[in-house]
Amino acid sequence: MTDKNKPKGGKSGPDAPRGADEVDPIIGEAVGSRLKNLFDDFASEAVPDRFFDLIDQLEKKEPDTSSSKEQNAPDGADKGSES
Amino acid sequence: MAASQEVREGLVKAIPHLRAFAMSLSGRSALADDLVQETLTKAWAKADSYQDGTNLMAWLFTILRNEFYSHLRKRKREVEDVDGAEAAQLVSAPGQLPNLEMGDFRDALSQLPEDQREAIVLVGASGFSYEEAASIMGCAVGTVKSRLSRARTRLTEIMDGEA
Repeated sequence: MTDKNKPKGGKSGPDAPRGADEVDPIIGEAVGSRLKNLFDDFASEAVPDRFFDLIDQLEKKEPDTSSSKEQNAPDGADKGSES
Repeated sequence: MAASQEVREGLVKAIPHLRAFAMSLSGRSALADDLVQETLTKAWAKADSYQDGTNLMAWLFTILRNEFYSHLRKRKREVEDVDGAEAAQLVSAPGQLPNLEMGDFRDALSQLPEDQREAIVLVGASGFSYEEAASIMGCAVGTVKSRLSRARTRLTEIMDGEA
């Protein structure tokens, strides 16, 4: 358990060190595993459509990256010289 | 433009995590989703202040927790008038519980002070490092650790029936 350097491939049994998923030593297994279950449970709930709608709406508004205003020169023609 | 595209994709991917964080913090689905909505809106508006390549998730979580605290401050003033009616709702979160034990744990979590709950969710469930959690919460790493430690002690007590 304490040997963190031991490479563990793929398998993540309940007792295996699991990298990022490893139980935090301060929090401990009893609390940590319940906490993760609860969080994963929340995170696996279906995302309500309102959020996708929101993102679509937001996308229609320009974000404040207005420093790069559209520099429209769609045609490669030399516009500077009007004949 | 590249940054905002990255933000957009990041936002979509982050939604389930943001919702889980919001629900862990607030324990109320309706409030949680409002917090997420506010977070997404603010994040989009501030997309230019997001530094390309930095931790987008941490940035989003920071926005969300700030929303949560500003909501609490607002609520606190209202609750003082309504005599704890709102506080009672905060604890009894409705929703489908996978089983009784999980419901108990959720209840236990909701009894922690916000700062401890936040710390333990960030590190124990969202997978942030102590340093990232400290940056999100705007406190020192040592403070994160002591909050974690107190949260663990308190949760253990509650689960052992000393609540």
